[in-house]
Amino acid sequence: MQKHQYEVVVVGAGGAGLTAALYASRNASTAVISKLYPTRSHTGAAQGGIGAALGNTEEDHPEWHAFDTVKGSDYLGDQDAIEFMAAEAVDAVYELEHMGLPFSRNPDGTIAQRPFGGHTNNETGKPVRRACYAADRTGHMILQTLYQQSIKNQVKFFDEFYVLDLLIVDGKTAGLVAMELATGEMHIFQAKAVIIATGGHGRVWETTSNAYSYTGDGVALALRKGIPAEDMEFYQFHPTGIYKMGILITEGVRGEGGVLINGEGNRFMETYAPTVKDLASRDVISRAMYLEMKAGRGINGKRFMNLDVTPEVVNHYAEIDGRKNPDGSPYRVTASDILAKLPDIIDFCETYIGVNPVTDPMPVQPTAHYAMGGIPTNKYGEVVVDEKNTVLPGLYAAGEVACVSVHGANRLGTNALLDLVVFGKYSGLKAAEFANSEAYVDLPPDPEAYAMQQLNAIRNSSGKENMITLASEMKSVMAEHVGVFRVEEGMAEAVEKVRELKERFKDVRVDDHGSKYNMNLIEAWELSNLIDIAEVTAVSALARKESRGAHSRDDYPDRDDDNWLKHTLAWMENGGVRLAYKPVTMTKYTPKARSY
Amino acid sequence: MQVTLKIFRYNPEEDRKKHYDTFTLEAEPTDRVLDLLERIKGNQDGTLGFRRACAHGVCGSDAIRINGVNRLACKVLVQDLKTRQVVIEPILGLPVEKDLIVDMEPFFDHYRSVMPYFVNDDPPPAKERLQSPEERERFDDTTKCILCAACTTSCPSFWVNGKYVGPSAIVNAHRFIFDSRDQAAAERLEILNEQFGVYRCHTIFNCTDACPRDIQVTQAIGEIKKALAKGSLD
Amino acid sequence: MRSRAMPKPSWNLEYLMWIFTRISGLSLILLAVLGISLGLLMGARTQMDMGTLMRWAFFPNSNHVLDSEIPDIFLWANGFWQIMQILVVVFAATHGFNGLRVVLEDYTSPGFWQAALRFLIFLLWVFSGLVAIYVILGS
Repeated sequence: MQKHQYEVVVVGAGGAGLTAALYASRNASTAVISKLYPTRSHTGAAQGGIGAALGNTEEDHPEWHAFDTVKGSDYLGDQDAIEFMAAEAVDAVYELEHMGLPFSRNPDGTIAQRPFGGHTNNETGKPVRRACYAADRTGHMILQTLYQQSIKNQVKFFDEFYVLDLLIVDGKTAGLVAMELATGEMHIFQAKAVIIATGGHGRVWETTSNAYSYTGDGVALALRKGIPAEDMEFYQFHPTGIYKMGILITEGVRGEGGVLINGEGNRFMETYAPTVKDLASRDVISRAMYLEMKAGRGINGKRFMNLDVTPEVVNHYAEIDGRKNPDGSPYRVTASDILAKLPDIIDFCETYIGVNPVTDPMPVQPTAHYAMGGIPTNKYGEVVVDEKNTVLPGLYAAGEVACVSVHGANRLGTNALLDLVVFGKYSGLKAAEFANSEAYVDLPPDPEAYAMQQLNAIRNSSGKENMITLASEMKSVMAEHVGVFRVEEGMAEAVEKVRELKERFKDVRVDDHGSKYNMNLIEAWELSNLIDIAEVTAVSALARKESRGAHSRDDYPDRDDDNWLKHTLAWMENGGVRLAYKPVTMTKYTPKARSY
Repeated sequence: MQVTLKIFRYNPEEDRKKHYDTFTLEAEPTDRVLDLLERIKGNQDGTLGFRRACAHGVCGSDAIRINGVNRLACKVLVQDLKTRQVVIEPILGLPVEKDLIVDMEPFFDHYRSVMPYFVNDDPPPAKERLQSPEERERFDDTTKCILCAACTTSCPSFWVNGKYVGPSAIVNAHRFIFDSRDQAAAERLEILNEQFGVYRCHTIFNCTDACPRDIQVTQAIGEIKKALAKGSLD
Repeated sequence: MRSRAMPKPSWNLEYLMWIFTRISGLSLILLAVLGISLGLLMGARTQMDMGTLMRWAFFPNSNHVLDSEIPDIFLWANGFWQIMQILVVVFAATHGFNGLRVVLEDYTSPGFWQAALRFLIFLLWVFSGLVAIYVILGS
């Protein structure tokens, strides 16, 4: 066992973790622990853009961005935090550019921007160019740039270390327990402040755009330490994942003029969102696709739609919509424009399904994509642990793992990358500030005891249950009953099933008994995290008797602001889940009916 | 269809020597090689060690040798293999830690050695630094690198001498050298002008073939040699 | 303050030898082509077999002409061809021994033995060059 001492320890090295580390390391000794090499983080898979009202090609204002985000969140987002994020967005993007991020450019040399779902000109209601992009690999560029700057600033990394336990002593953060994957050795990190930035948990569902590594490690870590998870029933299903595989096809495709076509050859979004059509927010489009497929209007009656970005189709609908370029000329594209703006999408489609999007439509279906819920924090990234927003000293969370909440019931495209850099920055600054004024908390006598107890339970299990079987049963029940559309009986069944799986997990089989790179053991641990999260998600969803954003119920089809305009908090207690609620922070936006 | 995978195995904690294990399983033509490895791990042998994360070619975790050439396991489909006998081995030139997992530290050391970060000491403007679309296009190809090491570990010069910085590090230097906003091109060129810099490249083109992001690696190295010879970046 | 302006990188051994290797490789081909062309003009077309012509091409020494059917070697043995021979020897030896040095540096690590072997290669280069020039000028 080895011991380390850093004032600030960041868990996770994606966009939020790296940003936090860059800022924290300016004022405090900082280490980053990550189960992957930083550049493997899932931020790198983000494609379309980062939202900021730069107004480089047309009029735009942070206030519009804030309103769009509030509306997109179906009024569940905390408005103070949303206003904060939208205002910080502009500087955040300039700061990334100053770090060398290679954004695509306009002819005048400024950062290029494209339209994205739910982002509008608040006066006309038409889509606005707000998503700053680097081709269709914006996340890749952000991740690489942040890692490059971390090297420049000599940030200390512990790569391929897996965090097993969060040490909290007398209600204060004391440190972490982690396993070095290369050796299996345990490491104790004593820290004044811990920033959790471990990302999401899309692997709970069958079809997902998420990496194998997206197993909800941070939320599970917190839940086991008596910290609640907020708004877990709100999980985003992105409308356009490659059929059956779930690989993401960016909303930027529709930003560039691509349209969704149903089995009858119609652009069905005209019916569901007459003003912005294919650029409605993601929950609206996923739901529309579900309804179309349910009515038998999938392609060839199957459960997918066509996403068409061939120049003929784009130009046809651009003419109907009267879409204009910034200079006022009619919007028209050529095959080489598509190739230049969406190179990776074309590569994915050619590699995995043998389709060239420049000449043929792409088969797409909704895919599990993003957790709006997570560890509750305030707008400085400080973790808050109850209905009264009491801060847990020294603990911070940022990025997808956190729930500020700026995304509420549904996140707008481009706001995830923004969330990472804005809240990564403030959690890093706040953590360093906290560390400078506080002393280390003494570690408990056996810091690794709880982690070892859980590890040994897995190692010494009876080995009756196959991990893959357990995982696939969880994924299929969650996809079927806690997916795009939900009903009481289904969700109740899911809760029951997940609890059964939790029981059966105690007999999980681990073949590998070694210590070097025992990925088998780590995957079992990750599965236990996913099962915990599935349970919390299903229980939270079952309790919410309304439809709001991504939580959409057949049996309660309407939003119910009188009873449900509040955040869910869920604790794992006594082998079950305890729920409580806290109010949504409102500033100047009063809930209205949501139409696009 | 049935596919047979002959997989390189090495576990330093066991006494057995490096060897190959053979697994046979059912596969669809559209399965990724990574899917097969996952299924073998899940159903046949949980001790199989390999890295993976995103599973669609953007994170760079799963570079391995498939039938003798460096590829990402998640970007090769069964139907692309043109054979049902598949040999899977770790990438060459880096120490094997366990099965298909190699020690990536020497690779990242080379990466870190070429100043792979943006340098501009002028005070930043209030808004963005301007850059024309043409200036941006100049280094577009090399911004795609995902640090998977497929190129570097396909390079015979690197196999022979691990001190050679390797194609990946040069690609990442290129990304900044030709960025019109950056100011440290001369320093990076000085680094690459050394004994184990660009001159170890003998234009074998293995790297270009191996790159899963279709970066023209050999061309990028050539552009750096040309910049060194001409003493200018134009 | 840094700027985009780029001072020319320093000229070190690696850079010079990299350039030289390329130039000398091309030159050797050109010298051989020149040797063949002039040889053919000087009568090799009818009076010399292929093997002899090739020996001439890669080392234009008049000794190589002696066992051919060329009646008079006056055209084949003069100062011009001696300069050609010296160029071939200098380029080939330097190109070759530098290659040997690169291989040596690939397979050994810096230290006494590498330095010693490098020096040995240097000596061999000087020695073979001197011997070749002695033979050329003496024949």
